[in-house]
Amino acid sequence: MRTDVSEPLVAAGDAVSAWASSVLVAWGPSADALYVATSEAGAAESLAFWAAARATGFALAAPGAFPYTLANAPAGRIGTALGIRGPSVTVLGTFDDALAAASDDLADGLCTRALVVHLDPVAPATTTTPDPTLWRLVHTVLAADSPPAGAPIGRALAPALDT
Amino acid sequence: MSALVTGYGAVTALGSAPDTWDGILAGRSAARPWDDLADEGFAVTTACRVTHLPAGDPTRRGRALADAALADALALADGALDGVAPSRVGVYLGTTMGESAGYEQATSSFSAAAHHGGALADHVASLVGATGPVRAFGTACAAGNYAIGAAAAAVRAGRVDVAVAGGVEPFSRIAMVGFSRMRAMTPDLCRPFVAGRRGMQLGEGAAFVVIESSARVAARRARARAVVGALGLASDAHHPTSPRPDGSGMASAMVSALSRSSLSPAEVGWVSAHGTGTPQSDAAEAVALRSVFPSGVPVSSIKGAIGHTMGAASAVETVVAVRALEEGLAPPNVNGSSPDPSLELDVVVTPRAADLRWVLNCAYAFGGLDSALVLGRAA
Repeated sequence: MRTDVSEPLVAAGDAVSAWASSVLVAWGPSADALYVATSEAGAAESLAFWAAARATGFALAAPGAFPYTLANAPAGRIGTALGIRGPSVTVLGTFDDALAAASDDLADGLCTRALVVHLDPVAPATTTTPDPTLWRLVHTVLAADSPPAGAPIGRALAPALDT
Repeated sequence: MSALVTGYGAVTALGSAPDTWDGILAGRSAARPWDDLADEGFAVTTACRVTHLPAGDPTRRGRALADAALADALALADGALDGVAPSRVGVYLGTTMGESAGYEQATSSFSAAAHHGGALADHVASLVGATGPVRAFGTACAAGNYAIGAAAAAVRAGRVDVAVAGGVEPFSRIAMVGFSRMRAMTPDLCRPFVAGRRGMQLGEGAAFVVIESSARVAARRARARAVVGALGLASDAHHPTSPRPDGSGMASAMVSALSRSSLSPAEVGWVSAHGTGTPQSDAAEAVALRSVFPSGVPVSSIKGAIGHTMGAASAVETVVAVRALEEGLAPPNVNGSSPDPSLELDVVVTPRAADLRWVLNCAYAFGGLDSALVLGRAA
C-alpha cells in the first residue's frame, strides 16, 4: 500500500531495529524509550502523497501512504519492531537535539534506557515529485541512566542505505 | 520547585481562549461545510477552520496562528519575560504536519526546512527572544502534551527560568485527504463517546502556555493559573495507525503521569479525554479509563466543538483544563449528550461544577504514542 517514496524510510527504520536488536535483545519494558531526530521524515512523503492525490482526485486518493507523511512514522516502525512500550519521542532537528531530549528525560526519570537515532535523507526533498531517496542513519546510540547518567553505552554509525 | 502556568492563549475555530471556553460551555460546534473543499473535490467537506484571523499567506498559516495565541499568552502572563536572560528562556512546540500548505503548494524551490515544525519553533523563539533550548516535537496528535510536559520538566529542574510551550496546526488539506480516505473522518459532526459515532473531524489552531518556576512567580508576585504536574508517556508497539484495543498503552501513560505526580486516581476530578470520535480510539480509551479509574471519573472531549487540531490539540486542551481548574467547572462533551452506554464512562454532558484539584489531559497519536499530562489548581 505504500508508495515507493516511503520505502527507503521504512528500510532505514528496519536497519535501526536490526542494529538495536543486535546490541540488546530485551527491549520492551515501559522504562525503555526511543528518541528519533529527523528534519526530513515525512517531507518527501507529504509531497508524494499530495501529488498522487491530485493526480487521482482527492475523493479517490490512495490512503496507504498517508501515515508516512508524519514525522514520527519511523519511530513508530522502530518501536513496534523492538516492542518498546515506553516513551517514543520524535524531535524535529539534529542528533544533538534528540540526545538532549533523551538526557533530560533520563535525568527526570521518565525512562531509564534510551535508544537515540538520527534519521535523515542523504539529500533533502527539493522537488514537488520526489523520487525514492537514500536515507542515512547519521548516528545511533544507546544511553542509560546508570552509570553514568546519559552516557552512551553503545554506538553505531551506519552508511547511507542504498535502496 | 513547581512549574506554574502564568499565561495561556489559544486560537481555535471558536475564536480566542475565552471564546473557546465559552463556546464549549454553551455546547457550540464550529463545524461547518466549506464550499472551497467541495469545489476542489474533497470527499468530506465539513471541518472546523479559523475564520477570525486574516487569511494571509497559506504557507505561513501556522506562524499566524502561533502569533495570535502566543500574544494572548504573553499578555496574560504580564511581564513573564522581563529581566530574564534570553539563554534562560526555552521554547517547546509540537505539531503534526507543520506548515502543511508549504507542501501542498510546493514549487521547484521547495525546502522542508521552511515548513516543518522546527521552523515553527524557531519562529516562536525569535518572537520571544529565546536563546535557550528550542525543542520541536513531531509527535503527531499528542505533540502538545509532549511540548508542555517537557517545558514543565525543564522549569522544575532549573534548566530554564521561563518556558513557552504549546502546539500549532494550520488547516491541512493533506490531512483532510488522508483521514477521509482512511475512513476515519465523520461526514457530519464529531460525536466523541456517542453510540454510532462516525469519526474525527479536522480542525486547526494553536495554543501556548507560559510556564515559570514557583520561585520566580513568588518573586515577581505574579498570578499562577495552574500547576503543571508530570507527563506520562508510553507506546503501543502495535500498529502504525490503530491503538491497542485493550488500551494498555493509554493506561500506562495515565498511570505514569499520576505516579510521577504522586497522585492517586481518586484525586483526579476530571479527565480531558483524547476523544476523537472514532469507534476504535474512543473504545480503547474507555477501556483504559475504566482500568485506571475503576471507581469512575468525569470525562469529556472538546473535539466535538473545535475538531481535532492534531499537534495543537492537547495544547488547546491544556488551556481548557487550566480554565476548568480556575472555574471549578468540568466542560461538557460537545455533540455528545447521549454517551454510548457500552463504554461505561461518566461522560460530562452539561457543564458540571466540581471542586477540581487535579485533572488529567490525555492525547494519543498515530505511531502508537500515548501521553497523559497532570494539571492542578494553583494554590
